[in-house]
Amino acid sequence: MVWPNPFDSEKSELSLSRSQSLSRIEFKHTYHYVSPKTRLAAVVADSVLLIPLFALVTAPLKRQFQASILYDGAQPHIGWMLQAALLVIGVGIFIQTALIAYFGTTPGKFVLGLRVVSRLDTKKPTFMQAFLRSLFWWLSVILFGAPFFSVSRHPSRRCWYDRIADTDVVARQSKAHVASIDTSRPETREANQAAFVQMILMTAAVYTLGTVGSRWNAYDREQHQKAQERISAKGLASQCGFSQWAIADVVSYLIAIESDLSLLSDQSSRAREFSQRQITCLGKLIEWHIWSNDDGPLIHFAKGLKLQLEGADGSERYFGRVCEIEPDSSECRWISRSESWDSTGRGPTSIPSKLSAELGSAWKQFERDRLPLWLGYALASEYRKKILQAKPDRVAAQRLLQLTGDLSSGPHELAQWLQRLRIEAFRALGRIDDVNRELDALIRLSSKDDARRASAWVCGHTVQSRSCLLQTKACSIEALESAYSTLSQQAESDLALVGATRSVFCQFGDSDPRRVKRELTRLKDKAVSSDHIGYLNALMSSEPMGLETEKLSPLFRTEMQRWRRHSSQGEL
Amino acid sequence: MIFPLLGGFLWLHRIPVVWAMLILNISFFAWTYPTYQLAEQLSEELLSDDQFQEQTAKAFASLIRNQPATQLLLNRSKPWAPGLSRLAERTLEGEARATRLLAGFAIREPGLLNALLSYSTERIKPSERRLASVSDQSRLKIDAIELEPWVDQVTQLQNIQSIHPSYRFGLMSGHEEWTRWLTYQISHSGWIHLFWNMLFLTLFGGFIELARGRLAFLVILWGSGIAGAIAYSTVSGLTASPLVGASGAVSGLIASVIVFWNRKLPFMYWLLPLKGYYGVKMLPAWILIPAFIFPDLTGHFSSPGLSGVAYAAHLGGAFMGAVLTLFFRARPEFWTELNQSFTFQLARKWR
Repeated sequence: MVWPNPFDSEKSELSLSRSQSLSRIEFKHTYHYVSPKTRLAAVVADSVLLIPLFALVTAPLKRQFQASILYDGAQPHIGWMLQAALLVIGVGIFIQTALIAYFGTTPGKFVLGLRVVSRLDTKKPTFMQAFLRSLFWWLSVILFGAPFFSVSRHPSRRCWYDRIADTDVVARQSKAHVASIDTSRPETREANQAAFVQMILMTAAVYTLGTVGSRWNAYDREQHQKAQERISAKGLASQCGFSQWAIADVVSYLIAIESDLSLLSDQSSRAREFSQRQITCLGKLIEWHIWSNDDGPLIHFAKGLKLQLEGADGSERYFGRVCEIEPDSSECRWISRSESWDSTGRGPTSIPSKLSAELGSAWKQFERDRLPLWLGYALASEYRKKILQAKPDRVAAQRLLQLTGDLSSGPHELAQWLQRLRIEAFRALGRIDDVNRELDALIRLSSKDDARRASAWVCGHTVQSRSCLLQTKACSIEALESAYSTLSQQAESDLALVGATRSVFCQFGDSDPRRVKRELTRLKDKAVSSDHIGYLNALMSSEPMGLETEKLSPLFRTEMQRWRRHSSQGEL
Repeated sequence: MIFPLLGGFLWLHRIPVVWAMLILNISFFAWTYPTYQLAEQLSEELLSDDQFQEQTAKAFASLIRNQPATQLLLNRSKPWAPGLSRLAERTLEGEARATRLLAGFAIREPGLLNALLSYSTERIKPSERRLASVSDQSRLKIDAIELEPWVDQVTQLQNIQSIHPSYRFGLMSGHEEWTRWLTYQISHSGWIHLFWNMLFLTLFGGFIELARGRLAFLVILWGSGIAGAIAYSTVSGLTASPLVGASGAVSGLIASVIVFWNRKLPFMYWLLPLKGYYGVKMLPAWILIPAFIFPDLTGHFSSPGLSGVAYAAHLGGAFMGAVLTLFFRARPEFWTELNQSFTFQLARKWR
C-alpha cells in the first residue's frame, strides 16, 4: 500500500509536516487549517459562554472586595487584582484542559466547527498535551494576548502553545473556513523562528506601550495632584495650619462686614477701629494667601506687600495689577487710601512702614483673643449673604440665629448689628412674631433716635419685598408714617434721609407715583448736602418704581453721574 | 454576543394571552407614568440634596452607635449588618463617601425614617432646642438647627412616596397586602426596565404559550412572580424601597424553556464584524443558562448589600418556573406551528 506524501502535491488536503514517521499513519478524516479570523471568532464565542462562568466563580471574591470598599473605605489595590486573576487563570486552565482532553474542543471552537488534534496521530490530544496547551494559552493571556498574533504569521497557524503541546487546530470537513495554505512558506525551522521572533517582539511592544502609558498616567496624575495642592485652599490650609473655611470666610469678612458696620455709624473713632481690624485681618490674610497661586486681587496685594516687607523691589507691579484686575476691590481701595496716610506722598511704597508696625502690635492681640470672634463675624456675614438671596437658605438662617447668640459677648458696638442680623434671619424663616419681638429688643437697645432709625432701617431694608414688609408690625402703615414724619423733619444725616426716602417708596410706591415724586421734592428741600440732593434728583428722574439699575432711564444715569462727580470732588 | 430568538414575535391569534399581558403591563405603566415622572423628579431632587443626605446619615449613624446594627435593624440577620456599624463610624468621622452610602441604607431601612422623625420631634421641644442639641448630641447626632429643615424634608419625602406608583403598587416592608403581590409584577421603574421585561416576556412567553398552552403560560408567569417575591423577602428581606417589575416572572419563563426544551433553538449571534461571523443559528437551549441564570447567580453572590437589582427574586422565579413546567404537557400541534415561524425558517435558510 502506498501512502500519499502530503508535501508532494500542492493540492494535498493535509499539510502536516513534522516528521517522516507521519507517512506511516492512516488518516480517517480530512483536516484543514483555518484562517486567523475564525480562530479569533472562536475566542470571542468562548468568551461569550465562559465569561459568565468566570464571573460566577469570582463572585465571592468580588463580594468580599466590594464589602471592604463600601464599609471600610478600602482602596482597590494590586493584591486584589492578583487574587482574582489567579483564581480566573486556575479555573480557566482546569476547564480548558478538561474540555480539550475529553471533548477535543471548547464550546467556541465547537460552534465554529474547530477541533484541537494531536499532531502525531490527528486524534484527541492526551491529558498532558491538553494541560500544556491550556497552561501556555493562559500564559499568552498574561502576556497581554500578544502571542496570539503569531498565529497569522505561522504557515500552519500554530501559536507557541500549539508547538509546545504538539497540537494543531483544524476544521473538520468544512470548506467554509479553509484558509489558503501558503505552500511557498512551508513550516520550516526558519518559519517557526520568524513566528517566535514576532511573538517576542509583539509582547515587548505591548509591554512597552503599556508601561509607558501607565507611567505617563501616573506622572500626569501626580502633577495634577501637585497642582491641585498648590491651588486649593485645602492644600493651603495643610501647609499653613489653618482650616479651610476660615480662609474663605475671612475674605468675605473684609468685604461684607465693612458695609454693615459703616451703616451703623460714621463716627471717626469707630471707623478707625474698623480700619485697625482690617489691618490685622489683612496681615493674617497675607500669611494665608502667600502660598496661593490664583489670580485674585488679594493675592497680588499680599505678594506686593510681602515684597515690601522684605525690602525687595517690584511691589508696584503687584499693586498695579490689583487695581487692574478689580478696581472696586477692597484691596485697590486700600492701596489708594494709603496715599492719604503718607506725608511724603510716595504712594503705595510707604505702606510697610505704617503697616508693619501696626501689624506687629495687632497681630498678638489678634492671635490671643479676637480670632474666634472675628471668624464668627465673618461666618455671620456669610450666612447673611445666603439668607438675602432670592430663595433664602433656611439652614443658614437657623445657624445665623445661633451664631448671633454666641457672638453677643463680643464688642458692644456690634450689638445692634447682631440684632439686625437676627431680624433678617427671622424674616428669612418667615417668623413674623419673632421679627417683631426682636425689633422691640432692637428699639430698646437703641437710643431714642436710634429707635426711629431702626424702624426706618427695617422698612428701608425691606423695600424690595413689600408683601413681607406690610406684615411686620414695625412697618405697618402707622409705624411707617410716624417714622417718616420724624425722619423727614430731621433729614440731617445720611441714614435718616435714605430711610425717609425708602419709607416714601415703601408707603406710596405701589399706588401713587406722583405722590412719591411730590414727597421726594419735599425731602430735597430739606436735604443738607449736594450729595443728598444728587441722590434725590437721581431717584426722582428714574421711573417711579424702578430702582433696579437695568430699568433706569437715561436721565437717571446722567443724574447719578453728576452726583458721583460731585461726591468725588469732595463736596460731601 | 448571542441573543435568543425562539419562536420570534408571533401574531395575536397565535398567542392571545401573551398579548393580553403585554397590553396590561404597557397600559398600566402608561397610566401611572405621569405621576411616576413627577414623583421621581421630586424625590430625586430631594434625595440628591447634600444636607438631607448628611443629616439622615448622621442620625442613622448615631442610632447605630448606641445600639449595634445587628440588633437595631429589621433585616439584622443579613450578612451586611455588621458592615453598617463600621460605615456608621466612618460617617461620624465625617467621611463624605460613607455619608452618602449610609444615607442610601437609611432610606431603604424599613420604618427608620419614621422612627427618627418621631424621636427627633418628641425629644427636642422648640423652646429647649439649643440645650437639647447639646445634651442629646451623644444620642442623636444631628444639629438642632439643621433638624427643622430635615424634618420638613422627610415629611416631603413621605408625601412624594404616597403618590409614587412604585410605592403604591410595589412590594415593600410594612406594605404586604395580597394585592401588592400581584401588582408589583406589572409596575415598572422606567421605560428601559419595561422594554426589556416585555421583550423577554413576548419571546419566552410566546414560546411557552405555543408549546405548553395558555394555562401553562399564565400559571408559570404569575406563579414565578409570586415565588420571586417570596424568595426576595426571605433571602434578601423586604426593604423600604419597593420591589417592582416582571423580572421574576420572566426568569420563570426562561427557566421553563430551559427545562422542557431539549432540542436546538434559533439564536442570533455576532462574533466578528465580518461576513460569515454573524447571523442566525440553531443552538442548544442550555446556552440560556450561562446567558441568563449565571448573571443572576453572580449578582446575588457578589453584591455586598446595597443593590438595585433583586437577584434573589430572579432566582426564586426561575426555580418556580422550572418546577411548574413539569405539570404541563406539550400541545400536539405546536411543532408544526413552530416550524412555520419566521425565526425557524430564517435559521434554516441561513444554514
